[in-house]
Formats: sequence, C-alpha cells, structure tokens
Amino acid sequence: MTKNEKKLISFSCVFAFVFGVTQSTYAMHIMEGYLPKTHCIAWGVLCLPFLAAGFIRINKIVDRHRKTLLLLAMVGAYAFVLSALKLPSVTGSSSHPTGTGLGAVLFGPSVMAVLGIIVLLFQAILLAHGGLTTLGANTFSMAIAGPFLSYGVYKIMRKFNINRLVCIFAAAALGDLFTYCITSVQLALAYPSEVGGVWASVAKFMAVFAVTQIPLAVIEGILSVIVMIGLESYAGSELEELNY
Amino acid sequence: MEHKGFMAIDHYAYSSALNNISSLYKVIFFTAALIYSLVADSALVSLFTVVSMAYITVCMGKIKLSFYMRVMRIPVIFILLSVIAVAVNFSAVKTGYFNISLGRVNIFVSPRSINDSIRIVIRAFGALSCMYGLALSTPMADIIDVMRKLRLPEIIIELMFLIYRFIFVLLDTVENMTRATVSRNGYSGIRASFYSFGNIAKNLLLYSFKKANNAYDAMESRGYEGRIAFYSEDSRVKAREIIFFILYFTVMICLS
Repeated sequence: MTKNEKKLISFSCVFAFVFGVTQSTYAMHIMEGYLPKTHCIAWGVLCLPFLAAGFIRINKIVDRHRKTLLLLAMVGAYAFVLSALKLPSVTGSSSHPTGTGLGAVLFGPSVMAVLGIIVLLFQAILLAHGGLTTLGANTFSMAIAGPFLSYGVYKIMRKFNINRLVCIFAAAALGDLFTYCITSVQLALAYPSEVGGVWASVAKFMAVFAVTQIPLAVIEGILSVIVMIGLESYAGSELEELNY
Repeated sequence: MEHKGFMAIDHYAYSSALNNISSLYKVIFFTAALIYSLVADSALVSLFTVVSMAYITVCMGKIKLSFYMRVMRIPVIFILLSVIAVAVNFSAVKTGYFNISLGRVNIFVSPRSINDSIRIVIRAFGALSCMYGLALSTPMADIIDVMRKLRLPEIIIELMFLIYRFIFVLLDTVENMTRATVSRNGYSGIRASFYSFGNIAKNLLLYSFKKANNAYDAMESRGYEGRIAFYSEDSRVKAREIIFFILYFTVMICLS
C-alpha cells in the first residue's frame, strides 16, 4: 500500500464515520451566514417576480373559493411535517423529501413558491435548517426552480400520453435533482475554485453533495408515486377540485 | 408534550426568560445584528457575535447550555461537506499541500483555500448565533405578529398563522401513525419501510384535506368571512433595552 492509498483510505473512513454517526442528513438547505451579502440580496431579488405571481394567483383562488386558503395552509403544514417523518434511507440516517414536486403538480408551481418561502422560513426558525439571510437562495432552488421543472416535466410527459405514475416519478425525481444542481451552482458562484473557476467549483459541490442527494431524488420519486396511488384511489373528489 | 423533540426550538422559545421583552424589539435587534455581522464580514465581529449571542441566549434567556450546544451542531454536516468542497482543489499539476495524485489529476489543498474555508465557517457561526438568538427567544406566533405590524399582506399573514397551527395538528397525527406502524414492525427492512412511509405520507395528506374541510366548516359556522382576528399583545420597550441596543452595536462597529 502506498502512502497515497493510505491517505485515501483514511479519508474515506472519516467520511463514512461522519455519515454513519450523525442522526440526520438534511436536504441541501444552505445554512445561515454561508453566502456573502451580495449573493443573499441577488437571489432574494430573483425570487420576487415568482413570489408576486404566486401571490396574485393565491389571491385569485382564495377570492373565488375561500376554503382553498385552509387547504393551502394544510399543504404548507404537510410539507413541513414531512421532515419529521421517519424515512427509509440507504445510509441508515434519515433524510427528508421536500414534497414540492408533488405539490407543484397538484397546485401549480407559482403557488408552491409562496408556500415554499413560508415553509423555509419556518424550517429556519423552528428546525434550524437553512437560514434567514439565505432564505432567498434556498427559496429559489427549492421552491421555484425545482417545482417549475417538475411541473414542466409533468405537463410535457402527459402530452405524450405517458403513464401518469411514470410522469409523477420523473417530475418529482428530476425536480429534486434540479434543486440540487441549482444549489451547487449557487454555492459555486459564491466560492469559485482557484483553478478552473466557477465550473470547477460547481463540479466539486455536485460531487460532494451527490452522496446524499442522488439517493434522495430516487426516494422522493418513489414516495411521490406511492402517495399519488393512494390519493387517486381515496381522494378522487378532492383531486377533481384541484383540476388534477 | 410528545413532539418536544421535533419542535424543541419552539418549546424553548416559549420558556425563554426574554419572553417578556417586546417582540418587535427582539426581531429588530437580532436581525440587525445578523445583517451587520454578515456585512462587516470580519472574523472579530463574528467571534464577538458568537460569544455575545451565546451569553444572551444561555445566560439572559436561561436556555439550557446542553440544548444550545445541540442546536449548534445541526448544520455540521452541511459545513463539513461544503468546506471540503471549498478547501479541496483539483489540478493537472502538482501544487499546494496534501497532494494526492489520481492518475493525471491532482487533488490538493492550498493555503488560500484553507484560509477561505476558515473564514466562511467563522462568519457562518456568527450569523447562525444571531438566528438562534431570535429563534430561542421569540415564539413563532410573535414573529408572525411582528410581520403583520410591518404590513405584510394580510393573506400571507393568515396563511402563516394557519400553517403554524396546523403543524401541531398534523404532528400529533404523524406521531400516532408512526407509533402504530412501528408497533406492527412496519419499519423492519427497506421494503417494508418504503411501503409504510408511503402509506403514512398518503394517509396524512388525506387526513389534512379532511381536517381543512372541517376547519372551514367550523369557521364558517362562526361567521368567518375572510378575515381571521388574532389576539396579540406586545410589551413596551424599556429605556435600558434601548441603551443595551446602542451599546451592543457600538461595540460591533468598533470591532469591525
């Protein structure tokens, strides 16, 4: 065994130890204080048009049908509570799905942006996942980019008459993966690599977070399908109300 | 309460000794400190916020030190992973420390990248302490109330209040469902776990649809017409709190 091989093995041992011991691996909420100030503001501003669109849409829905406000609040609480659920995971630690893919398919992506920012704020203050200054960046990756992609994937695949459940799986899993790519780009833009600049840095962040995020995307896809099967068979009337 | 584990921060926020201070004051104080420590971007200011916020939360707010240390460890995974990504570099030529060559690519750590990552970690913990200061001294309901005072759209405020309320309703249900599942060996093995998780997630969603319906009926029968009135009260800001505010930020500005 050469010296380098030894180094590599001990490095991977540390890695395995860290993942084996810690109780919970969370989705990629960028933590408080991790992004420089300019990035915090820029990502926040980028979210504004989507939030405004979502706000207008919610206002419209609620004006027509007051009850939907309660339904939306329940979905928000549901997304929050999902992170408390025990999730089967490959590493033995528990990681949590975002549920935004399914939400986007059911309610439309702009509504998810508004619900998403509220849930992320709650997660920051009540669970210490994510942060206040990084709220803009997290909202953009998790409540805007992911849901919009999920929604697009779902609509396009449905046009080609692909099985509904396959669509749901693809929408949820790809939405998660897209969120993970966007977060990597956000981190890389803030901390470009010395050699190779931003793109090298994107590759590094993606490689490091792939450990938790790729299994998570597959799991989220499978679970969304299971939930959808259940909803179709038990809550047909509610789904019709949502124009699903 | 059973879900104290999951909602522990909320639980401690209600028991904080700082609870009788005006929540508007607290929100402004902690967010101003948070923003200043981020804008100043200096190690000294961040270290000062880490120490002073720990003092404010643990000594003045009477939050258990062991719990404070536990919440401090929450983002550890994120820090570890992202610091690895910042500190480790790839290059075709041999440079820097701890060179590991994998065929044509060299993995290395440079002095600048180490410097960067230390700076990021210190700044992150400074900002984190400010956020925890707010989270562990001001209950969510008070924070939402402050947002209402700051004129956020009414519908968003209502949505936030309702979500906060519904979280507890759903948590109770999740707990019962999980206990029932575990007691029937629902989580033995990967296959069963997936099945159980999916079922719980599905039933919970159905349950929450139903609950929303019931809540609407109950509210409508009590005359709900599109505005929910919430009771709120806030203490006055005292002179010594203003002095504390001024002193605190003078120290911060002097340090940067």
